[in-house]
Amino acid sequence: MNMLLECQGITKAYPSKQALNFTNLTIDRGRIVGLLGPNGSGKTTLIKMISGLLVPSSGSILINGFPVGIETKKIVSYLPERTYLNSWMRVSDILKFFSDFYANFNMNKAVDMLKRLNINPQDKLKTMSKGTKEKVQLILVMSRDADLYLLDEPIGGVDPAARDYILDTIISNYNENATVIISTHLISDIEKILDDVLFIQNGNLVMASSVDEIREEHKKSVDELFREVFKC
Amino acid sequence: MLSKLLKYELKATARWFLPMYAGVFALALINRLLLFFQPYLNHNMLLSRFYELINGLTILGYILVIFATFALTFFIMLHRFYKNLLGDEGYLMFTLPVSSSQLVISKLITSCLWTIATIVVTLSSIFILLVNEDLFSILNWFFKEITRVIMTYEGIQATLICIELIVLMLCSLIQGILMMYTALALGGTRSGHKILYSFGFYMLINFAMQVITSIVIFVGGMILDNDFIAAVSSNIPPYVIIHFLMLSSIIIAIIFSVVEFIVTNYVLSKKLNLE
Repeated sequence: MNMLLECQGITKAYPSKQALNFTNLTIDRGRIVGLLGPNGSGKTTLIKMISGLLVPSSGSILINGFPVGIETKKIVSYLPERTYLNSWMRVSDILKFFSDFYANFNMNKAVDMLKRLNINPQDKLKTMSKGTKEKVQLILVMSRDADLYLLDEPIGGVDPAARDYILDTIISNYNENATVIISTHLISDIEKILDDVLFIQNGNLVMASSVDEIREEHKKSVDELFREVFKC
Repeated sequence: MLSKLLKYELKATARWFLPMYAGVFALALINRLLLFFQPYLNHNMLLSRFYELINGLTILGYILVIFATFALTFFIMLHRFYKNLLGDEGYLMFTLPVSSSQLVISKLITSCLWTIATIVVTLSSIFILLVNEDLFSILNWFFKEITRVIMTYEGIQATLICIELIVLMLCSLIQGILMMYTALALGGTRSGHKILYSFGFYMLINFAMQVITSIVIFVGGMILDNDFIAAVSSNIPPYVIIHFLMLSSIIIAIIFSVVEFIVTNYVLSKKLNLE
């Protein structure tokens, strides 16, 4: 069973606008997928629906054959754009929290990554800078042995050196059983690790292709194709 | 999973309540200790004045800290729900492998526990304030009287009514908390001015409840009209009527609570709209 994520005709309509209007989409295991599109195109809406934070207006989403719910939340690891860490815990507390709620949380891996980034587990979350909190969040998400990783703008607000570290972490975490969906508009940085790309504009899926196909057929890099497709 | 949610909910809130409770006990103790000095003051004007000044301050402090603790209990109840579920932390809580009903129940139980704890702490502090040699003999006499009276028919009825009263207070507490959660959850579906909308929804729910309760009483009054009451009341002892009223109030509170829980759960699971 290679298919991990299956979206059928999902739409999301708000009173003010139609945020998402997808036809069918399937993503297999073991792929690193880029969800690319301009701001406001519906990337975060799609990710929120897969992670269970939004309910589609119509259509269905199946992850590993299960509809979105408690079973899928066990195997989906979501990194949102914003910090969801509370203010009263220390780093060690949030590690214990994740370990308590997620059976597939790898404590050793998390501790190791913290050490490598020189983050003291005894530090209080509220005293950390925004960048450090983002790193802690990334470590928490990548330390889970999940089937599907959803990363929403993981390298957006981070310095170039940390960006490389994050991309390295994503790659080294790779296992052929799991899929990573990365939503971003910083394509040139991420292109080198992507297998597939999904171009999304105004809530519509305008292109779904593998990176190899783009390079062969269009003779362009993904970054160049993006600029062409989404020309203002 | 629910026990884990409870554990973290208590941890997150205890850091506020425990120091406040310590403050309540401390001030009760200070006030009580000051009373030791009172007999020694009769002959010294200056010392007397000084004592009155200090005592005035400590009594004021004690009352203020009790008010603050109750206010804190109320505030934290709302704040936890809003911040942890409808704010940025919601991104974490709603992607945990737990149901939204478990999230609501964990908050509800914690809020109830702290409310009861606050009441117990306040009463205990008053007890500390009153402790003296006579108190124990008074309590002794009191308990002896109670055990004697309970054995009578009236005593049993009174005990039952007290139990019903406590159950009613608990159900009202749960209903009150859930009403606030429903208002917050409904307000959270709006994209702007969430707190203002929550307040509005609270007023709306409150109004709806009062209308429903009035209708029930009116219809009840029509069914149980004068002829019916006259026919029945000659045979019914007064206690039964009290029990009936108590139990009806409890049932109404439970019904409202269930409805509010269902609405809150529905809104959080199907209409979640985190920024």
